Amino acid sequence: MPDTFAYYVAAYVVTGILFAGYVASLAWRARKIVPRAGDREPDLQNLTVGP
Amino acid sequence: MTAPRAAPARAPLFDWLFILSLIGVAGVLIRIVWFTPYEATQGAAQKIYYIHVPAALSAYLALFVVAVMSIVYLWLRDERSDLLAWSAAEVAFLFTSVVLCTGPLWGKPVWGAWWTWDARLSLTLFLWFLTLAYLVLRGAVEDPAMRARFSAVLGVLAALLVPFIHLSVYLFRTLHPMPIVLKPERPSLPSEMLLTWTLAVFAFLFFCVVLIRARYRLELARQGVGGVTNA
Repeated sequence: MPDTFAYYVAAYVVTGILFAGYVASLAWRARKIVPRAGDREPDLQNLTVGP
Repeated sequence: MTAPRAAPARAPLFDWLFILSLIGVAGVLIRIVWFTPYEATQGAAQKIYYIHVPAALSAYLALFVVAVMSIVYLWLRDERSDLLAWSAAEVAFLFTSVVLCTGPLWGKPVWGAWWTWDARLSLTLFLWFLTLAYLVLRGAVEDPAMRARFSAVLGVLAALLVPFIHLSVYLFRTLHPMPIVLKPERPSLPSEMLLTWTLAVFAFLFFCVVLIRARYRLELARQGVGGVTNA
């Protein structure tokens, strides 16, 4: 059996990097989104004194 | 142009479905590494097959979504279909990149060459460039209606390559192997390898769908339609 282990590992590492990179890019782009009006709903009926 | 309808507010980008798809891919990886035997003549490099082919099929699926949503956009001018086509194109680019990286890493030890300009490899590279062109076009055209229309036409044309790529091994003399599983005859794989391959295909296709969904939700949020949380 030929020794092809390095190619096998390299293929899985490259695939992992591509997938992880894409998911990270999605998360990064999501961070930049400014919350819209209505996203935050403070309870205005129970106001309390702050620190 | 139809205004996008509101998505559920604060839809999470990575939800339980995303976690489930990651568990699926991780489970398949464990099976590939520890519970699937090496092939006798190719050794460990044959296991690249379990990600190379599922990645190719996932790219085909994403491009099918691009084509269908592009046609829907050209027909109905519904902005949501344009956004979904864009999301699927980005995921198709990701999976085609995986195919183009893992293929040479299998070819070098088995063929003795990283690359050869045969029909399937060349057409797949061409598809990668077309998908890249689609994504570049999205950033190059400012007018939303014109951008969506141009992208839809390019998306349909890019997806038309897929059947040619799949049939290229029959239509041309190529170095690329003939289909091992997706062919009219019985699969030429031992049962334990076939089970691993089948599980890998389903795990990758599910991951592909979940990524398209996450990308689509992100785009809806960026367009101001429905919020998105990063958890």
